[in-house]
Amino acid sequence: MSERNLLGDLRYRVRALFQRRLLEDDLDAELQFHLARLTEKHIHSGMAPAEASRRARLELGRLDQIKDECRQSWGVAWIDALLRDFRFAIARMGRHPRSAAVTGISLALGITANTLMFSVFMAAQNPTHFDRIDELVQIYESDSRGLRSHVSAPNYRAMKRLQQSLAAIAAYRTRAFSISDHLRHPELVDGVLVGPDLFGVLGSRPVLGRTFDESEFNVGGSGAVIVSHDFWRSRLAARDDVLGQPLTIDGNSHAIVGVMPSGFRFPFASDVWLPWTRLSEESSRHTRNLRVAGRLSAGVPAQGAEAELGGILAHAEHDRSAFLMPLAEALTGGDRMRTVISLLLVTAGLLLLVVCLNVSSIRSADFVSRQRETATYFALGASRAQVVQRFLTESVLVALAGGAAGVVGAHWSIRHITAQFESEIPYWMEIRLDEAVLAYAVGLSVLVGIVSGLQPALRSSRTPLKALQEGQSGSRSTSNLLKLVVAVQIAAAVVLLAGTKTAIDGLRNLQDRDLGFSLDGTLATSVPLLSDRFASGESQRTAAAQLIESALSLPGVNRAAAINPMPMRDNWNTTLVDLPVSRSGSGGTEQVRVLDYRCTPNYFSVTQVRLLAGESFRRTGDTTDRREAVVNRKLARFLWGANPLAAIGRSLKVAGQSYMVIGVVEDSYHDPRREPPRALYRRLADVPARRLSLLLDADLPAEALERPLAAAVQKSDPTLAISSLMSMRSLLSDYLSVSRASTQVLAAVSVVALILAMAGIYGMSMSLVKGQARELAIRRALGSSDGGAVRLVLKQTTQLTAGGVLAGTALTVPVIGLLRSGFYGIAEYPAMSFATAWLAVAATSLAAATSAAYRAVQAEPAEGLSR
Amino acid sequence: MRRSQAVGGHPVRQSHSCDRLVEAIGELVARLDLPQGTLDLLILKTLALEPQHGWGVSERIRQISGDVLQVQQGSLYPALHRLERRGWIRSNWGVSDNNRRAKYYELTRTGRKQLEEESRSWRTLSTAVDSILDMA
Repeated sequence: MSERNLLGDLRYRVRALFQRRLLEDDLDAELQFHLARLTEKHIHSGMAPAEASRRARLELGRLDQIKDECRQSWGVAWIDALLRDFRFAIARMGRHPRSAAVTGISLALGITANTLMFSVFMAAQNPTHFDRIDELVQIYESDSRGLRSHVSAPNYRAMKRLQQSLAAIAAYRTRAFSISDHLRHPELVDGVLVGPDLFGVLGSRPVLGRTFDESEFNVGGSGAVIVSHDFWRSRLAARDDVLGQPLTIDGNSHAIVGVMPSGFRFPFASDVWLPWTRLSEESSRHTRNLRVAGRLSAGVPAQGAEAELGGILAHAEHDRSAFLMPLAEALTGGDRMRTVISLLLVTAGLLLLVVCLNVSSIRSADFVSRQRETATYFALGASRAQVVQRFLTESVLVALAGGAAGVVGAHWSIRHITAQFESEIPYWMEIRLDEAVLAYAVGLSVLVGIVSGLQPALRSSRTPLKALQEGQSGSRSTSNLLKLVVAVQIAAAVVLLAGTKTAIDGLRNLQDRDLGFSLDGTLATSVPLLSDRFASGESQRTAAAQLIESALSLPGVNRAAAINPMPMRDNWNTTLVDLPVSRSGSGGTEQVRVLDYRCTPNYFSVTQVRLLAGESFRRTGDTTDRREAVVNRKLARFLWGANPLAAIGRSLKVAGQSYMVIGVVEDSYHDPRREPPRALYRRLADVPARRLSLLLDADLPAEALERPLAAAVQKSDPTLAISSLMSMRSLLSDYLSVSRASTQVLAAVSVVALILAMAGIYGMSMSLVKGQARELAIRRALGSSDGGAVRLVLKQTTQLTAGGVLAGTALTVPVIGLLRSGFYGIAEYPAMSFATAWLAVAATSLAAATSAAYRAVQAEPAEGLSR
Repeated sequence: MRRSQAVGGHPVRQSHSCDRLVEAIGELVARLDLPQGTLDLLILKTLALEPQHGWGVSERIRQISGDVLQVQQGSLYPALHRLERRGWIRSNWGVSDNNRRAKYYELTRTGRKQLEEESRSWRTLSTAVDSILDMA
């Protein structure tokens, strides 16, 4: 057919679809005309009018049949059939709302999970903000043992000078900056020192202004800064005229030269990018803290570049080699993310498979109970294909309805998850429901509709004779598989429910637990000493004292203290020290790992950490020859036995320096999710630190004190900025936010599992009743009530549920073990968790089985006997 | 007895030995109705003479074939509609000779081409069948 004919054909079909009324009227008129002429002809040949009309009708044939054939000629018959099946399916769903709801909800959940996972997968596949990200690599050094590190400045320069396999290479370093302007107090902001050409390597361009030019990398150049879109919006009110405006960063003035696109936070959560003017002055061979990014030249494989860079490094320094990682991986900490996403995709797929099996079993039972309907179709001359099409249409329709709900669910989940895990989801992952994801959801729904409906449709559309021949024998193996699937679902529901209950209890435990310090009335903020002038220990000591003084000058502040590291905020792993300890009795020394706190004297009184023995640091004890230390109960017990008094007056050696233990305090938590560590407290005056946290015992709330405190701190030193002031309770709540969000996700998954198990039991119970229809019918004929029939189903369901619960309980034990590592203080066998899971699953199973059994028993009372 | 009125099912009044064979073929064709291509060809040919309504087409075929071919009325209209969808004929409402509204069909340009093509292949076929039958 030519193109023009094809178009004409299409136009005709479209007309047939949308101007149906007109076409039908035409057809009717046309046939009436024919009939009239035929009748006339017979009258002419001498027939009586009545006989002529009868004869004419007889000759023309049945009008509705002719019309039907004409409609087929219009080429829209299949659409008509589909629409008819569609209307029919909707009517049926209305008549059996329970089955439709159970299947629809199961499908919605399955499709929600898969759509969500697919959108995450797509987001991970297509990182935003970088040009051709597959060419970008992060470059590490590696030693002879394969230990990876960032790059030393001399090695970076060697690579930059000699390499040929990269189109470009650039260094950068992340750190915090203290930023102020004439309007506001200094604020702490994450940022990056950017080596020349970093933006060129990344292929990222500002939306406003420009990237750095060469002169801005010169020492003593006019300071420049590029800011993030977020920073521009929140701090600079999204003004168009910010270019050229000054920002005071660590006490120096920098002019804004660019604003990056919305969402760009390279590498992790940066708000400002500054030219690294002193990069060329970095010379330490042993400080390997330059992050290096590169772009592979076209056609050069990563292995080739790695070999070349490795050669350069080996030449520059003995035993060094290079390690290249795709930048997308480096940004998320290795390929962990890809593994997790693949796992989640597979899990979602398995979930959908289970959903399909459940729905298939419900449909099977449903269709079997419609044998009379099927028989009627056949009697009316329908072909098997037509019957299968009708059943499949119904099944696809339910799946599409479920899919639509699933898309809504996925949309909602994406919004919820991106809000809950905002800080956890990398900025370059844009999880959204785009056309590809929507197409996936629709395609998946249709597929699921066909997969879950095909077997039941084929089985129940067997011609009556065939059904008689095959009997029920074919269904036995399927039903065994089904039972297994249902048992697995029950087990999974038990594991997830018990796990969720345990996690929720664990969280509540954490929130209510006595952490060893006072949560209310104590406010905290951190004040890092960023400026170069705080390089010496003496200046750090003075700054700490000044900070305390300026805090105390504020009305409403009773006491103030400083500490490093800050509980619930600073990572403790960086501040563990190994104490060499020689114990009485044994001759040698051993290493004891302890958490090394440095604090001002009244830290214990501000936080109300209880003193068990001895005394706290003296307030006026300036640097003396004799250095003092306080230990916690755990360390004291480990070193000198259970009696805290035994520790007083003992001496400890840390980094070659002797300390005398003057007091023992109660254990307090650092990370509330883990057991309190052994801890050693020294005075900030003896061992100064640059990363300080300020703690206040105040009568005023944090919001009221924050601005005055920021002002007072800035007055003591214009480069100093504080992070937001928070009560210790909100700090704890912040600290637990990710655990809380994960627990919510876990809870949602458990509910899904429970619903799926319910659907599974519902479907299985229905097939059980159908399978035993004859037995049940005979029992009822002999006078047994419906209750007996239902009991029969319940007995089988209960056995299956018991099996599933047993298996689930066994599987829960290791899961609880996993949770225990995340939430310190969970019992090994949390009875309440198990009881909750058992109860929920048992109740669900009972409800689903009873409901299905009653529905099946009541559906066709006499049908069972007739079979 | 409707079947015997259909094309090919026409009573054969020959009395030689081929009688039964022709009858058998006739029955076969009758059961299959008119092969789709054949009916299409006849309709196209009829309309090539002048625009005509469905009744006219069936009457014309009957008359020209000397009552030998009678289109089974029921299959005429589906065929007309199919041809129209394919763009070989188009329809217009007009007034018939006895002043009644009737739907007239006429051949389109592609229809004319189609007619030539089908006539050619029909002739080829019938010549071939003829020559086989003449062998005896």
